[in-house]
Amino acid sequence: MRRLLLGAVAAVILTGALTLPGSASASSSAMLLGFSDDNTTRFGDLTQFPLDLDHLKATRATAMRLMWQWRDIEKVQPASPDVATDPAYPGYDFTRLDRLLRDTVAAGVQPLLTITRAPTWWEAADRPPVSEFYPAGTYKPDAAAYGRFMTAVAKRYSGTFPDPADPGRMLPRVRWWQMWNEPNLYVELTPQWTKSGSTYKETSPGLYKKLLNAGYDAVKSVAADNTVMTAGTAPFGEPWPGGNRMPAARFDRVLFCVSGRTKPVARNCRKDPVKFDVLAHHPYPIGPPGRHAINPDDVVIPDFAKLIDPMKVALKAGNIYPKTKSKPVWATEMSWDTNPPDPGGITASLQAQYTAGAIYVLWRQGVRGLFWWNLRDDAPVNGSYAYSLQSGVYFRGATVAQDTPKPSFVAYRFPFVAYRAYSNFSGHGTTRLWGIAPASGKVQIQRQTRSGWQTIRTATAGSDHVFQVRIAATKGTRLRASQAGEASIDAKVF
Amino acid sequence: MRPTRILLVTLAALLVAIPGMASAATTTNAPPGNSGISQYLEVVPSASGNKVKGDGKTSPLTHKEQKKLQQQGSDGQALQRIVNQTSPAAAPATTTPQPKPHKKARSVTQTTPTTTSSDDATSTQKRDALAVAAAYDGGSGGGTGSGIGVPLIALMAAAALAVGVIAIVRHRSGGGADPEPEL
Repeated sequence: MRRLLLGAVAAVILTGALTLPGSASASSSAMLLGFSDDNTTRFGDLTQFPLDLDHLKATRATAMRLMWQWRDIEKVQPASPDVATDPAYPGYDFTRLDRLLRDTVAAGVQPLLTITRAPTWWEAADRPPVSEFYPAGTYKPDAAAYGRFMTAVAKRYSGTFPDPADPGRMLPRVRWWQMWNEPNLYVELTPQWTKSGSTYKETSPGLYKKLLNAGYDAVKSVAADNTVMTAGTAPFGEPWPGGNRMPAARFDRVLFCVSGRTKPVARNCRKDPVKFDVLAHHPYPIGPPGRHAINPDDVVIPDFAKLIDPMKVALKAGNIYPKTKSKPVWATEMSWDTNPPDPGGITASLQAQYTAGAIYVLWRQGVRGLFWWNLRDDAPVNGSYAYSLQSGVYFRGATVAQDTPKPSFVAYRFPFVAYRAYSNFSGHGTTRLWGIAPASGKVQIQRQTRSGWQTIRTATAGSDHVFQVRIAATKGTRLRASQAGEASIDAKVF
Repeated sequence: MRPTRILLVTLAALLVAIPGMASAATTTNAPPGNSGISQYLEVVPSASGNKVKGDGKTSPLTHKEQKKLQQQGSDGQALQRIVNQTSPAAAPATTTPQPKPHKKARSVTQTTPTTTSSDDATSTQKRDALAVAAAYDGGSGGGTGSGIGVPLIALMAAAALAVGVIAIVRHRSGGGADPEPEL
């Protein structure tokens, strides 16, 4: 019944999104919301992609992250540096990416382009044979070659490059660029560590810094107002030196040239600063959104200070370019799987509650962008859900048109949380409410009663659409927010 | 409920739970809803630390566990292999990185991938990963932890007592600072 109701709500919203392209672009919202979905973008049926974008906009998200592999585009090694920077070089295959970007921008959705993994010919000559330990495309990639390639890509998507599939028109502009993906994992960058004598030294941050700076210089040389983002770091690492994964906080401290976990101190690296505009991370959770990682250098949802504090220290010291007081911070991947369909997942309603909670916890720490990993659930692999992600805000249908929204669909559109600020042993107390409304202005706070939802208070959402209010409520009370007839996800006071 | 009763119940629950917690010490932290992919699992040092048990070549599984896995056919054997290769307890004994199954969402789809990425897992790797993921989903107790010791139990009991006292004081004073929620 609940699913049917959600479907009906989504159908109404989708109709609106279809008739008003770009209407969901609430650019002034406190949190920029987007999606990352490889199985839709890299592998999915392209004829279905415009419908995927409609589904994305129906969630009030405004951005789509497209993660692409350098080696999937560069099919033939360019003969010279000049050839490598040519966006029309025939050795590059942009066919699929062109089409995805064309559709994305036409739908009024802002693309974030992530380029990772080198062709094998741009890896160091001493690379060991391709294996589980040393995946192709990751071993000491040539940063200068990455820069040349990124120049070609930035030129192609500068908004001034003729569209080969549509004579007389230009390919769309990409403004957000993310250099590489999860460089603290060996599957994305190797080696992570180098052994010298009996000790290990961090290697991947240095390799990554060269890639990031080369990519930064490349896309900025094409358009100075392009925005460059660091690769989102993966949340976990082995808590000992020499592992396959370097803990995110440790990786970033080395990248920023900062020492000290609890009291970061910058070393003098201002002659060779690391260059970026936005810091990105992937805070895949371990349980509820407020739960901290166990290891001191792992970084999950409430642990962003482990990255932001050293970044601020490095900024002050001039170790990061351009020098600003702070940098925006985004989470470019994150999710929970649901059951159904994955038996290892959490319930869809809990996923919704966690999603709203995660948006709140991220916002509280100053994170201002979130790209949810998966718009729609992945298909099972060999009949099993254990090896694919069922973290979408849509249940997967036989076709995209048959996808149905999960409760997290509403949580993404209109996040709302309620938590006890104080309670006594009888369960009475103060409850703090927070949410991001569809627009600025009045928001009705409603309580569920036997006769339906009753407005008990009015709050005001600011220019960033955020509203916060405290009310007296008893444990178990069910609350929600409402604006212009649209209801948020409901929240139970616990 | 009276505060003293709450305190007693808390202490009793702690005393019951602690031995269980110790015996269930695991090396990965994967609650439900976690992606279940090895690279997104938090590896937590066990009670015995990261030290290698034995010479580092032997399996971290008990004979009983190994036998059970052997009886489960190829999946069980695959899991046993993965556990032996990737056990954090064995990791420091080796100088080469340990194999892990690849991230699933980026490597496999229902449709045929158009690329030949190295992360497009082979069927063997998929099977191994399935087995590992299944083990994580099921909560791999293992029971290999060596226990946390009497001093820690005493410490936790003292902490619980302190929490109880603070709660009573706060209750009587009728206020307090806003706690951070675990949403």
